[in-house]
Amino acid sequence: MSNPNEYMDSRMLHAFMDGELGGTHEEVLFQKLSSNAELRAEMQDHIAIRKAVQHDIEAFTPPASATAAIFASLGFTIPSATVNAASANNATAHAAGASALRHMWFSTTSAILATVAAVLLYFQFPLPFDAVGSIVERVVSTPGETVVIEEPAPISDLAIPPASPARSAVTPAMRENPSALLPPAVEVRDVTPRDLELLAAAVAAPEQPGRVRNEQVRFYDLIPRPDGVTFYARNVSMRSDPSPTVVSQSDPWFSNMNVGVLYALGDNHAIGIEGGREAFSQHFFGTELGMRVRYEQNPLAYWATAVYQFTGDALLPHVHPFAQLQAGGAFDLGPLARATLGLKFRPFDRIAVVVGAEGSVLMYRFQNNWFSTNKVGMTYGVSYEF
Amino acid sequence: MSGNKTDNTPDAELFYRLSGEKEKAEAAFTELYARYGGRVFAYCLRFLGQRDEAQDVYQETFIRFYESAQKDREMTNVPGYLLKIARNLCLNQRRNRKQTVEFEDYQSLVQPSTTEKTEFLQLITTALDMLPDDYREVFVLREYEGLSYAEIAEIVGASLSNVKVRIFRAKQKIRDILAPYMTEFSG
Repeated sequence: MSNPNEYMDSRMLHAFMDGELGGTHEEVLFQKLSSNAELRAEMQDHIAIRKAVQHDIEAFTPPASATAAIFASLGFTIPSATVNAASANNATAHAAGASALRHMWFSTTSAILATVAAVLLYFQFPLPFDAVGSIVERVVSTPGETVVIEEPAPISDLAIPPASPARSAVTPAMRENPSALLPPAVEVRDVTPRDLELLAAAVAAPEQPGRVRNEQVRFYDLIPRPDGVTFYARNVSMRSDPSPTVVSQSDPWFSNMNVGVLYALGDNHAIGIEGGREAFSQHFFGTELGMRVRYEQNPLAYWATAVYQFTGDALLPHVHPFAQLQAGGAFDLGPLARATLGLKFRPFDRIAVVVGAEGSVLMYRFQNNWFSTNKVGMTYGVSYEF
Repeated sequence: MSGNKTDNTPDAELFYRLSGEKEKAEAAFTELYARYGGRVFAYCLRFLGQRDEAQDVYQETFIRFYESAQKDREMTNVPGYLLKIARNLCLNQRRNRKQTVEFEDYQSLVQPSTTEKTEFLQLITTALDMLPDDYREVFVLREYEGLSYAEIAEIVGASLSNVKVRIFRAKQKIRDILAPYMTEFSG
């Protein structure tokens, strides 16, 4: 470009290629192009540069981690359409082996935890053939008549001597036919006013020598069991598979904190609801424009589940095992199941401290494929019974 | 700056929704991000030349963009506004880099790309790094963002004639730098 004419020709060429050249100058430029090989070469060079720039995929593809960080810091769910295909391939290749092993370990652990909880629940259910043994009986004997009353054992029963088979009111026939022990409503029809007097006397005079117990009572069985509504709050500290690779929105007041309410159906069984908020690390795959794309996000999500809890008999003074199963969902993500095995330490009637091991599985769907996030870890908290 | 639009809601309407209910704000932000995220990142990356820095600036750009919308600001040109935020942050970033570069090995600033790139594109980005900031910036806005001269003048705060000259010189310089290789790639 040694002279002013060449300079002006180049300026015209650039303006034309950028859509900034007026119509009157276009014809002049076309004439120059038809006769000036150097100008045509220049145009070809700029076209080549522009074409290369337009294929600069690296520049036009924001990293998935940046997208995740932006949306997480604003408290939004990460969109599926903005991901880094390039990093996906690298991550996939490097992480495939370790990820598979880790995934298997977490899945297996979660499954074992859930299975153990289920087995424990199964064997702790009071079954029909075991009905006799599950009832604490007070037997009032008078000549020729026996009245069986089901009721919670009072603390004063501690003074009662060990059971005497000879005086036990539970006969072998009754053991074979547990229905004989059925509800007072059936028995009451045959009870005379005199029976009622005896019953009243038995209640008023608990140490009456004629009363026996057919099974030994441990003193810690006498601690009142929940029979109402229990509120609880607990924290969870869990490892996740897949491991989080992007920062999640944090909320120190309500992250990994669960709150729930349980309604006792009996001494051992309770149902209720529980909710909380925690981050679920998600790694999944999809296809965009024919390319396999790996997505990574770590959204902080609210979740809620229905709860079934079984509380076993005391293993140690004030210490009860429990198992809990939950099913529900994490909002905007997918179905969620949790299983917990733990211990309740109940130093007072209404307050309990809870520790346990917990596993959870979150299922979510993307492009007709299902993926999961598995977690295992510890939980601890307190409950208060109303 | 045209984007990869996935619905027909105007930018101004989406911007307005950013200051509304969280659910609508999230949907609007997601849409605007889909439209302009790629372009903003391209600007940051090619202007700064370093991926880590570009990523930081890019994240900050969208966070500031959202926060500014919370103040019920009226908006007529969302992409232009985004690029202005990105530009200010990029200039700050470069200023900070200049203050610290003397304590570092300059080579540490020349980071290899982690993504596979064509050889010619690699040459272009290398040439881009060799341009002065004001030339590189207008080149990126023109070639990567597809902005008109007037839009570029608005963003960089320069006169239209000045922008025309800068763009022309930037392109010529890149062509000069690439001259030894052009016969191989322009055919």
